[in-house]
Formats: sequence, C-alpha cells, structure tokens
Amino acid sequence: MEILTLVKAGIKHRKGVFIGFAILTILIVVSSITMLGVSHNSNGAIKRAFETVDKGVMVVSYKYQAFTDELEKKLNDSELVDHIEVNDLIIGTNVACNEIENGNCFFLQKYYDKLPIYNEDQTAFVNYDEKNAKLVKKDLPEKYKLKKGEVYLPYGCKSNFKCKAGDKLTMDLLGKSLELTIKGFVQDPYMGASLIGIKTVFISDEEFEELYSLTTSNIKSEEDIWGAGDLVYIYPSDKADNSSDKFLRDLNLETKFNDMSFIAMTRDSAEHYTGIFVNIIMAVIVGFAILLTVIFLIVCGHNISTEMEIDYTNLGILKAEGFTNLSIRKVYLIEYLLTQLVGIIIGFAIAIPCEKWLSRLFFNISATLPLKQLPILDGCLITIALLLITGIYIYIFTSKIIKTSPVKAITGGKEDYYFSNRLNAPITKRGLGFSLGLRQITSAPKRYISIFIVSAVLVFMIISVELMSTYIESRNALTSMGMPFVDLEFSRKSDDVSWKVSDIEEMIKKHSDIEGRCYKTHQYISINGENIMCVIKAYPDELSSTYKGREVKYDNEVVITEQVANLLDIGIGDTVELGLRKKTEEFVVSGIFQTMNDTGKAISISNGGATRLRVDPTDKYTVDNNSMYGVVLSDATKSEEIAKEIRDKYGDSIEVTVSDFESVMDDLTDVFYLAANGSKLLIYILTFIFSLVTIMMVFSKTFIQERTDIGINRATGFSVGRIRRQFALRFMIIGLISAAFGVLLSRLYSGQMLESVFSMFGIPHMELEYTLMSFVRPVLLFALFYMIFGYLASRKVKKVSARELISE
Amino acid sequence: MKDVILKAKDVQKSFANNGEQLHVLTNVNMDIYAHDFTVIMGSSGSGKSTLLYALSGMDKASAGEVIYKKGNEEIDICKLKEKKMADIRAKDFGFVFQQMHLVSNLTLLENVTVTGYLNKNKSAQETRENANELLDRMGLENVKNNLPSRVSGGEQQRCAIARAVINSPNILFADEPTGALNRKNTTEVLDLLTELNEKGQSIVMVTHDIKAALRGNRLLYLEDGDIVGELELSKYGEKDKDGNPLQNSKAREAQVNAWLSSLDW
Repeated sequence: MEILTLVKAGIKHRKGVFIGFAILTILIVVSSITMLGVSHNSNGAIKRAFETVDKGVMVVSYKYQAFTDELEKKLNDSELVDHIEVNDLIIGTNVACNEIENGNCFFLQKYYDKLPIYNEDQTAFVNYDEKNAKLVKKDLPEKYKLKKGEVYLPYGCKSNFKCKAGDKLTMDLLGKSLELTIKGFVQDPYMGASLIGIKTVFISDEEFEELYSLTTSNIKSEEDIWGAGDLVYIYPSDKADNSSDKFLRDLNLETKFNDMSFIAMTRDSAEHYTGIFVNIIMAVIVGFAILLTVIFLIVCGHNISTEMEIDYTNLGILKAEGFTNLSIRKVYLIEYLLTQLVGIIIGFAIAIPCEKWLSRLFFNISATLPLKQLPILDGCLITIALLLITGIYIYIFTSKIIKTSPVKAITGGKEDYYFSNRLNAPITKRGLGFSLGLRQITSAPKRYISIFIVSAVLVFMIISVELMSTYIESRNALTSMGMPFVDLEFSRKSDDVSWKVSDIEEMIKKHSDIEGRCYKTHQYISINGENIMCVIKAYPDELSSTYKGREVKYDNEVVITEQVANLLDIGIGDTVELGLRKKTEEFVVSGIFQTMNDTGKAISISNGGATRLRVDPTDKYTVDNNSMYGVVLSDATKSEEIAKEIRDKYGDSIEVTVSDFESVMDDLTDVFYLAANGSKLLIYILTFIFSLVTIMMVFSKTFIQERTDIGINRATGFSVGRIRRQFALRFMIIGLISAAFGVLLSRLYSGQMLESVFSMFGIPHMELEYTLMSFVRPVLLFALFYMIFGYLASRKVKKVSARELISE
Repeated sequence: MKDVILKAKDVQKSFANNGEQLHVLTNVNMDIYAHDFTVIMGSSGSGKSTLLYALSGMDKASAGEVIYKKGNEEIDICKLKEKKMADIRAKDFGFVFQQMHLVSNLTLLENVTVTGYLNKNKSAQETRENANELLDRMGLENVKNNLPSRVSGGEQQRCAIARAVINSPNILFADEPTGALNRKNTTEVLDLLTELNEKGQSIVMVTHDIKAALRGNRLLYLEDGDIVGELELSKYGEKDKDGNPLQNSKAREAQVNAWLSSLDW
C-alpha cells in the first residue's frame, strides 16, 4: 500500500514526464505494431492469392509457335515438373485508358473460374466467402459473368490508369484496334501488382476465341509473331527446389524452356515485386522503431538519474523511515512500467485503425486483398519485450539508490550531485540571455546528455534524408541510378516511320551539342539460366551507370548489377551464357552497374551484343514500341525550338516530348519517390514529435531543478518574457551542439545507411553530394525547432512568482 | 518633513484556504519615508511578510493601492503589468531574502553583475567595476569568484545585499535577512544594512529579532493584518554635535522593549 501511495504521488507530481513517456511508448508501439500488421496481412495476402488461383509457381509466356510440342514434351517429361497448363494468349500493345498510356504489352487471356473478382468497393471477393482468412469458393453470380466487349483488369491497373468499372480500355492487337469496357477488377497474383508493367487481362471465352483466330490469321511473317502466343503455368514436382527462382534455373538448364520464352514470372519474383513496397517501408519504419526504442531508453535512463538528483533528500528520508532499497526501486519500476503499459494499450488502440488504413493504402500497390488479422501474438511479444527491456534498464539505473545513505542524502548530498561539473562560460551584458543559457548548460552538462544524444541521432536522420533528397533529385544521381533524365525524348507515333535517329541527331546539333544519348530497349534474356531484364544500349558509354569495372565496350561484354552478381554468384571477369530463344552466346562480365529496372535485377549489353543474340531492336535506327530514345542537351533552353523543327519536318510520324527537369521532379509519383519522400516526411514528423516530447520532458525536469533560480531571477528584475527567451536560447544552443554531433555522425554513417536502404531499390552505390546546404539547412531548422519548443515549454515560468522564495 | 516614497492605501490581501477566504492583511494604510530604516515587526502569522511582498510588488494586493513615488511620478504598483513591474524590481527596488537565494551556478560576482546588467544606463564595464567594489566593501574580495555553495551563510547574505543594491535602488526590502544566520554573521549583515542606510539608502525590513529591529529608526507593529503601533527612534548610532551617541544601545533596547510590551509582544 505504501508503495502504491508513493507511485500515485510520483505520477501525480511528475505527470508531464509520464505523459511524455506514454507518448514515446505510443509512437514505438504504433509504428511497430502497424508495420508488423501490415506486413503480416500483405504478405499473407500474397500467399493466399497464389493458393486461391492454384496456378503453379511459374507463368511463362511464349510468342506465337515458340512453345513447340518438343518443348512441351520436355517440360512434361522433366522430373522437376509435376504438370503444366497451356493457355492460348493474345498480346496487345499501346494500351491506354483515361488517356493514360502503358508502355508495356498486355496479355489477353480467358477468364478462369478460380480467379477472385473484387466487389464494387474492393473490400471482398464476390466469388469467395471469406472466413478465417481462408477462401471458400462460391458460384460466380450471373451479373459478374463476362460478356463480349467486357474485360476484367488486375487491381493494380486501377491505380496505374486511375480507372473504375465502366471506363474504356483500348489497345492494338495485330491488325485490329480493340476497345473494351472495364467490368471490374480481379486479383492476379502473378502480374497484378501496380509495380509490374506487363499485365494479364481477362475477357470472355467467346470473345477470346474470336480475337485469337483473327490475330493468328494476321500472323504472316516472323515480325508478326508478337501478336499471339501461349501462356504456360508450371507446377513443380516434389523434386523441384522450394525456391521458384531456383526451380526456374534448374528447369531451364535441363530444358532451355526459358531461353525460348518471351517473359517468365516466378512466384518468388511476383512475391518480391508485389511486396517490395510494403517490405521497404516496413524496413524503414521498423528501423526507426528500433531507433525510437533506443532513444526511449536513453531518455528513460537520464530521467531516472535526474529524478534521483531532485529527490535525493526525499530518498534519504524514505530510507530513514525504513523503506528498503528494493521497495524504493519498486516505486520507480511500477511508475515507469505502468506508464509504459498505458502507452502500449493506447498504442494498440491507435495501431488497429492505422494498420487498416495503411494496408488499404498498400493494397493499391500490391493489388492483393490484405488479410484482416490483428497481429496479436506479435503485439504481445513486442509488449513483453518492451516491458522487460525497460524493467531491466530501470532496475540497473536505480542501483544508485543502494549507495545513498539516509544521512548523506538528507544533509547536503544534493550539492555533490548538482553542478559537479562547473565550467565557466562567461556571462556578458551583450547577449545576456544567450550567455546565461550557455552557463546553465556548461555548469550542469549531465542534465542534457540524453537530449544531446537523442538530438544528435535525430539530426543524423534529418541530414541523411536531406542527402537522400538531394541525391534523388539531381540529374547526375538519376543517371547514376540508371534512369537518366533526358531533355528531349522521341517515339514512334505511327507505323510509317520516315525518320532515323541519325537524322534527328543532325537536326539537334544545329542548335545545341548533345551531352549524352539514352537509346535503349528492354528485353528479358536468360543469363546462366536465369531470366533477367536486359537493358540493350546503343551508346553504352554515354550516360552510364557503371560504377565498378568498366562499361560494355565490345560485343561480347555484359555488365550486371550487384543483385545479379549475388544471385548467380558471378563477378567481373567471369564468363556467362546469355540466351534468347534458341540462341545462346558466351559473354564476359566487364563491370557492375546499377539500375532501377526490375528493382535492380538486371543486366546490360550493347546493340552489338544483342545482335549476337539476334535481338535487333535498334540497328535500323528507328524507334520501336519497346525502345526509348532521348537526348541530354548542352543547352536545354533550346529544347522547344528543336522539338518544333523536328515536328514540322516529320509531322505525325514522330512524337517529341520536351521535359523540364524542375517540373518533372515536382510531378514524380514513381513508387521509388513515393517511398523516399514518404520516409523523409515520416522522419521529419517523428523528429518533430520526438524533439517536442524530449524537450518537454527535459524542460519539466529542468524546471523543477531551477524553480528557485527562476524565482530569484524574477525577484531581481527579469521579466517572464526574458526568462522564456533565455530558455529558448538555451534549447537553441542544445540544438546547435547536438546538430554538430549529428553532422559528424552523418559524415561518417549516412552514406552507409542510405546505401543499405537504397540497395533494396537496386541502388547499392550512391555518390552523395555533401553540400554546405545539406548540413546547414537541417541544422538551422533543428535549432529553430528547439528554440520554438523551448520557448513553448517554458510557459510554466509564468507560474513561478518571486513570492515563492520567501519563507513565512 | 520627510518625503514619502511608498504609500499603502487600504491594502488588503486574502488567500483562499479550503474554500474559505483567509484575510491576512485587513486594511493597511501606511507611508514609507525616503532614507528611513523602517522595521516591520509582529508576531508569527501577523502578515508582516505578506505586507512586505505587497509593498515590494513581489505579490499583488487583493485590494487597495501601493503607490510608489518616483520623483514627481506616482505609480500604483498593484496595477502594473508584469514587464513594467520587472523593470521596477530591476532598477528601483532591491530585495534581500531570508534564505539568500543566490543563483547556484553563478559565482558571487556573477550573481551581482547579472542583476547589474539589467540596468541599461550602465555599461558592462561599469557594472563589473561596481559589483567588484561592492563585494570588496562587503568583505567578499577573497570569495567573490566562488559559487554560493562554497561560502558561508553570512557571505551569501552579504552577496545577496550587494546584488540587491547593485542598481542603486530607491528602496531596499529585506525579509528576515538575519533569520538564517548565526550571531557573528547577523551582526555583520546588520552593520552592512546600517551603513547603507547611513549613506541614504531607504530600507524596509521585516524581522521578529529585537536586535535587528534596533537598527531601524522607525518601527511599525503589525497585528491581525493591520498596523497597530508605531515607534520613532533616532537613527542607529546617530551622534550629536559633540560626537556623542544620541542614545546608547541599552536605552534604545529598553525603549523598544517597553514599546513592544505595550503591544502585548
């Protein structure tokens, strides 16, 4: 009972501190539980999506007649394969909806009855009963059955095209333009996610048969084989590797099925692309939650030390009254753990709607309906871990109590605790507030250790995101990320191509020098049996993103990303086998490059290298549907002038896009930028909250410690405003000193930290630009934050009157 | 005819206590004269400290006026805004506390100079010189660079007095300035206050120590929140034309004791 009385009194007396602790706990619990929930439900949803459709572990597309009977037999005969399912396929290009074009081709397929169809508000499936996170199949109601002219799109298209049911989808088939009405959205686990460009869309059996026979009848030559093909689902046998990627490699080595394919997507890859956004955000937020926990513990330890300083006499009195060391420590333990428990309960309550909201947000990207399970077990584990860590930590920190004898504590031990470290920062009349603030810090630096550490970490985080922001928004960085920004981009507008790239370049050179050319096409090519996105470049040495070894120079050279190097266990100087359809050739790895294509899982060869594999997309110096041609000008102001001249000359056969770097950066909605800017925003918000809470907590302690000094100052003529300004300056100084440490930390570790995060996007190498502004801006911002927060926190000064000093 | 420097008119002060009003000062009317050493006495709980806060502007009266006469200007300090009151505390009023209350992380010299810096009419150099001079005069030359925790209570209180007079206030208020001191330190502090008063410093001091009260030339007695007695004395140690004390200390003490006895002290 006596302990409870002390606990009650302690919490009541220091409620500001405990509210601060509860807020910190809430932040930790909300961020960790929310992200665990989102991750659990999103990743669970992807697994459930595969189980629902039951379409094996790999889908492989083949252009018309590329999937031969011989290949089919090989696959069926393989010990690794249980069985395969072969479906006819129609390929559409120039897909557009709501005036938004998709640069990738779309696969048209018959709707199959296991494919889940979303209801109108995309909260459930109309053809499944959802119970206990398991899907029980229902018969498809009549109104959901496809009619001629209607199409079901994977849900990822909804955000890509900003479309809804009833909108029109157009595309070009071989020899026919097609317009379809969107009937609704389905969950396609393989290619449904918005991050995957190629999509499979579903039409009625009747319409498919019609279109298929029309398209195949239009295939007259080798050039037309893209119009139709086969879609093969492969089911592994017990002998196949559990990893679908490994299964693909093993099977390809045996049958060369992938070398012959147009594109293959394994379950592993699909899960990777579908879940990448959630996983990256989760990594960032969980990392931050861990950081928050460390900060929480630092503040907690500091707080207990300071409290013991303030309560030193009281501790002695309690001991003199007969309280044991253990019972006093119990008081601290109960106070903090109780507060933490309250924070955990509130955190849970907030995390539930947050999890739902975030899952829904990520659903737009993953396109798989998230599960609706609460992470109870994970939550309980986090709770227990948090309470246990805090408990042990507090128990260790309160060990000082044992050393305190009642007499020592009651009689003047206080002075030994206060101002044990006296530094004489001078007091000056000019800048009196500043010099007094500095004196308060230098005379008792121990009081501010926790805020220094916490602030330095926060400044480190802010500078890191600033560096990241500067990096991703610079043209050089874009080039180094394999996605160079071009001032002018050219594409084919009609089949009648009356221009060549060389002609265009001649015209440009009349107005401006060309700084670099990006003329490339993408093609999936197998490398040592693994189907990988290959960037085929006409000018590999221009706008290069190769950072180790050297860029491709000869036709037999290939550059690979670090991801591919790790995946296939190859490096610079190794010989690899590249394959496309029936052709395979040996290449030598000449360097390591980086690209954001396929989140960094890519290789790159020259046009010459592609010719060896009989890929010939750019040798005619025309631009086809899959290729990109753009130039970086020395004088970008001439862009419009050049564009006009080219348009005038070539009319409808060319589309010229002029891009302004600044405006494009403002309009970027790419997932990578969303994630990067989202992380930046999150870190700024959390830093803001953390700074505020930490300052409030440190201030409330300082206020108790300096209450008498405040009273003295007021009695000797300092106005409330003046004292508050002094507090504001003191916290600004703390902000500046911490920022200096933060800058140092950032100089040492920002690069490493950012590279480890960015490697998830395929950017393992970053050349950060350490400009003065990238340090000065966050430092000033931070000092300003602290000054304002210090001023706000010091409003309590009003409550201290000089009268309090006078003993009756 | 002495000049009134501070005037209390119908000053009342009440506190809320468990839902009831506690009237500490009922209706105080009094004048404080320039260059006087005014001593306010009274039994414990009579409201003498409360009266001192009200007079010095440390606390606002619940009703009534406290008029501070600054030259030809009359200022009701009860109606002043916080910033103006702070300005008066910095320049016109000095205050000495029973518990000294020096800022613990400033040296004695800094405690004095910081308050001196609030006076914009003096340069920083002048303030430092003044502070040094004051502390030297108060016998603190060897300890002025020490922190308060490293010096004796008497030295702290002398420093507190130096701080209170650094801006040459018109009135120096002292609340039981010797209450926390031993006999030797008490004498030192009282001598200092007497010396200041001799040089023309107006002092208002609250005390229940007769020895301290003897230093005043005007004694007021407070009972149940009102002034009920007044005794005029010569200045402490004042001498006649021949250099002989006007009143010896024993006679002075007897006169004060008799006065206090008449008030049921």
